[in-house]
Amino acid sequence: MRDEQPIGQGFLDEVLVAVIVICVVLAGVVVISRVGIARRAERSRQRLAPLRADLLAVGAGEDESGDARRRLVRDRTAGHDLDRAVVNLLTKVRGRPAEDLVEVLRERHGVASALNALGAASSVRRARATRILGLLRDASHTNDLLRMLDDRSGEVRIVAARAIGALGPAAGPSAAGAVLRAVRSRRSAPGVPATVALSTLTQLGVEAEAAVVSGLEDDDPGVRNVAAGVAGHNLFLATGPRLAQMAASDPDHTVRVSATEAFGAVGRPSDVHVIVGLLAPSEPAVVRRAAARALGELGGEVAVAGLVSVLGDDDRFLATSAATALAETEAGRRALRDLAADEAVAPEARSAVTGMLQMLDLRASDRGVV
Amino acid sequence: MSVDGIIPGLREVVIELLAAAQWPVLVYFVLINTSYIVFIALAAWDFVHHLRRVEQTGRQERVASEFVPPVTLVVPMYNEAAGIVQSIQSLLSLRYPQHEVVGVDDGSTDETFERLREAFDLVEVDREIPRELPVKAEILSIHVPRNGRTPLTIIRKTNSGRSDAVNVGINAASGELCVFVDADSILDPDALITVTVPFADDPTRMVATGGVIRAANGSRVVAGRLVEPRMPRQLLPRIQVVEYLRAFLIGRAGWSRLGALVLISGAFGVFRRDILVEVGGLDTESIGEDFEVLMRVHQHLQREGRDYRVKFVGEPVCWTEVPSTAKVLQKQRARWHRGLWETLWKYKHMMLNPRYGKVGMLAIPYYWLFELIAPLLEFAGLLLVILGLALDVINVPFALLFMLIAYGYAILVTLAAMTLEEMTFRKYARWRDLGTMLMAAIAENIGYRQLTAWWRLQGWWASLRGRKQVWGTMTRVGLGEESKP
Repeated sequence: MRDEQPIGQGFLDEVLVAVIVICVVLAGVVVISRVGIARRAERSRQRLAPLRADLLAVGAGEDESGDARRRLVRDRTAGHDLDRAVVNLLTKVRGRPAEDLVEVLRERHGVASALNALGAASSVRRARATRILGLLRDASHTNDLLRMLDDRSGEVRIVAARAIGALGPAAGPSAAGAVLRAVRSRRSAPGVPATVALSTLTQLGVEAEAAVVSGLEDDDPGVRNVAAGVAGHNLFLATGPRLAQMAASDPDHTVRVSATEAFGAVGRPSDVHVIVGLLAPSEPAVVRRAAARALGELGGEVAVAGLVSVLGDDDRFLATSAATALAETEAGRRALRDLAADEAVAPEARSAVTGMLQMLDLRASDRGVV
Repeated sequence: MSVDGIIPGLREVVIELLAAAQWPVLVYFVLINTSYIVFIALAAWDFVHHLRRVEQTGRQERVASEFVPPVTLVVPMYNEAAGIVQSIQSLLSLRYPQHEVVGVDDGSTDETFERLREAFDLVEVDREIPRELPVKAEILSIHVPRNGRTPLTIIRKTNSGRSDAVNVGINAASGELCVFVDADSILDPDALITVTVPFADDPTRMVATGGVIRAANGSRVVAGRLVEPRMPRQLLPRIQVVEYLRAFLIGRAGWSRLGALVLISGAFGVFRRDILVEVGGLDTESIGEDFEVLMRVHQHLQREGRDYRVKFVGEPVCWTEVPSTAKVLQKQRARWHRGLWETLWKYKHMMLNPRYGKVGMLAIPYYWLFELIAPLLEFAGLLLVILGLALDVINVPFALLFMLIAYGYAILVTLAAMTLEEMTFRKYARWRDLGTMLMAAIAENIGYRQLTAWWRLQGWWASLRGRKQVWGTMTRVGLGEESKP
């Protein structure tokens, strides 16, 4: 055995040497990487140091003479470090300082570079360029951003959707339609996430209304879901009847939840019976809970009665949601106090009521209202 | 039989064993180390992908967005009086637009609750906790801050273990996402924003994400925030820093990139609440409950044929105090390995079962082969080499050479992980810390690796013998708050 080895010692010697060499190389890479990064950071800091005061002056809106802006435009030493610093500052300021920074970027050809990079092979470069165009908040770039909503990379599409949101209502109604279409999933890849689309479309304000009305009829449940959310958030009152219909009978539960909550925001008190109907035990739990939240928004006697009816429900999450919803309106709070005083109330319902009343009292006493 | 008769017999046995084991051990050695290199490559891909996109992820927008999913931080606590107030304050002040903290006091016998009551001016309420998940414990009382607005709920219950405490917290949670955080852990200020990005980007498919866990010992902690990562002063925690780097950061990022992540640390994991309710919450009988719950999620969703994702996020950091004494480390590693064994055994039907996709065909076989059995092989190999040397049946230079290569390769893997860390996150800024890490990468192989292998075997053996496992108290010395560097 002593002399029978599965592999020759010479081979093992070579392996050991290779392992040691690689270890030394890796240790060297760690050290070189650290030194390199520290040097790059220092060089960048040194390049930007003479311009820092000008950058801050423009960013703070204190460059009334325009001298600082002109110095930034003329500078040829800081290169991309300055462009990056300007973009970074743009994420933090609004109004006149932002306009001045955009001007600096434009005159330093940063905008032209970003437009060029929209066609780059790297999705990271395309995403960076798209983000920069969004930061400009310039509606003249709407079409460029709309084009990026169709990009082959999902990440670029997300950045484009956010960038369109940054343009606000100036992006126009066609942008809203494009963002909603981008929500649709493409083959196996998901579309623009609902949260991003919601945020963008709400920023477009009233310009999104036509697209939302049309989106409520879309075949894709993801699009209907986002359209319902925006309709509720932006208070598009005309969508009320359609939302009520979707809340009651959309084939997708997620859409029903969004439509129910949206209807809570835009519905009329006369339509409240539709939502009360969704509290029925035969409905899915998520829809019943959404209905409780919506009734809290709608208010009114019928809503209060509906909410009171589920305080003793077996779904205790629904019961506590109903108690929370009752606390949203004066009539609901009155109902809670009446129930607390009524000895005939079932123990389950009482449990939800007393907890909520305590929270209300705590909040009231904190405001000095007892 | 005389000693003279035993030794030749023993020599024969050892020779046979060595002859039988040499090729399997070689193949195993090559496979396990190659898998580490593959994981480092996958993690590198994952981190570079993450870091190149970080400025485009809309982090700033999310801080102010009303469309982010509401989050509930569930904090089980048992005898945490020393640092609980700062910990809860730190969690409440995390940057996130909609988050609440639900602390579950699991029958502490110290002043945990009293300190909280005093610090947050807690008052008892009759709030009802829905019982969507079954819980064993009796809820004693529920408390909220007197102002009725601070998003904090403290639930006092009889002692029933960590898993049951977490289930109580899930029941009380109002957020769509539940984040499990240990009471003694410190989260980076943007941890919630970053770890929930996958849910925002892919809300219908993402069911769970995990953030990286790092060792906090020795770092500067000010007002419940870790402001400067530093290497610990003691040897055991130092070694664990590089061990966590390799196992938690690189290993999990690699599995995540492969789409077969089966373990998210219980110290910092995010789950969709509805999924947790669907699978019945944490298993109160399991000692590896974080591993077990994710395996159950995989099993459930694969059986239903649902398209889902579980992702590891390398950037948001949860800092935790790692054991600084051999006794505590021994208990921890025995418990971890026991949990690994019991969970793998419970889900043995998923092993090499195509119905469970990459999890069944790739991750579970890997965990059996390279996580569960590794300490057994390592220890048996060491024993055999020692016996072989004692009985003079081994070519000493060859054995030494082989061991040098084995441990040299282990150092190489750790150095590769450190290189990746240096080129991406670079958490340890001081040169001194870098030197200490390099030394710890070498020291790990001298005693530490062998001891932990033995402790893991003890945990496995205890389970096989059916000994009752208790969580016990994880004795901590505290992170030593500093006010000045």
